[in-house]
Amino acid sequence: MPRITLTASDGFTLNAYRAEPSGKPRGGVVLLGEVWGLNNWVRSVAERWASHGYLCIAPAMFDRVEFGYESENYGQDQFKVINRIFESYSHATALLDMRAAVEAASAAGKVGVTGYCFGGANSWRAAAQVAGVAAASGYYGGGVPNYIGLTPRVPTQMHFGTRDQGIPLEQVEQLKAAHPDVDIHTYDADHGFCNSDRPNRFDEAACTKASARSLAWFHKHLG
Amino acid sequence: MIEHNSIHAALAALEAAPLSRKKAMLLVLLLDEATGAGADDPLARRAELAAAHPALATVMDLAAMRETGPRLVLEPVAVDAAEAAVLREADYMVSLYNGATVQRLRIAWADARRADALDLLRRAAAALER
Repeated sequence: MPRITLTASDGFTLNAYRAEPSGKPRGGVVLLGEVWGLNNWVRSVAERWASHGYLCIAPAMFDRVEFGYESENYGQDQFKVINRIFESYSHATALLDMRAAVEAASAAGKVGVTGYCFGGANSWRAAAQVAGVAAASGYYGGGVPNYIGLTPRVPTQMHFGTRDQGIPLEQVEQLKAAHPDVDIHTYDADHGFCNSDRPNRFDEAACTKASARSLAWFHKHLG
Repeated sequence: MIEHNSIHAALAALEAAPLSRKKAMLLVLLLDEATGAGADDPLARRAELAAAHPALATVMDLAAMRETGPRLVLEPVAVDAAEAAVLREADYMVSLYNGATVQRLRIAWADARRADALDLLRRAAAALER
């Protein structure tokens, strides 16, 4: 069943989406979505990781605030809902939820964490703070000043758009300077360039290139 | 001699990347250079422009890069619900998971005053057009 539940170390039960590869798994991938929860696009990305041979677990990172939250509404009106969710969101408990997802994915071997936007920033946090992670590849994680002080403990890769108006390129440059071992790539693209359900955001060329890099990164570090 | 086209191009580049200190500084230097260009008495012309247009006066201060003068800084700025409605989407998205703050390029003075850099540079460029 693709819809599963996970139990975090503090006993909280959260939803997750599980995409299973057809053969023997190469490893596990934890997928952290954007601010719309486990929606159609996140599930499609999870299935793509499964097609590459990885057991993919996408945890519902907002369940502690609004259980079962997920949305296909990319409109401005949805931002009010998201804003309300983030008023109660906690980075501390998010680490527990990510850890629960890593444990579930580890049934397939080494675990990589990847994610987009909010999930991209959390990919970095997971690389620095979540046990059991073997590699990370995050996409356009905003709020660089809020995570630049965390040092990834595992091989980490990040992808940013040079036209992202929410993430200054100069902060990406600072991130690179502060963490020269992190594999940082930039693309001539805007924020959210990998979400194929948003034609006004999606940049197929940039996303294809970045996704290939993530896959190669996980092949190298997970198997 | 600085062409107005260069200033337009630099302003357009900053509008496209409004959090770039480098692009802002390039525009500052182009504007500063243009303030005295072609004048018989460049210093008098600059003084005249600075007196007439506070935005241009700030540009000149920025370009001077004095130890105690204003600087371009990128810093988090709190947004409230009303402001959130008019933010660019990427801005808003990132603010959601960063404590309701957005990054803003601002001009910072030693006495803690702040001004939005893009807004001020737009006004400075417009003043030179007159």
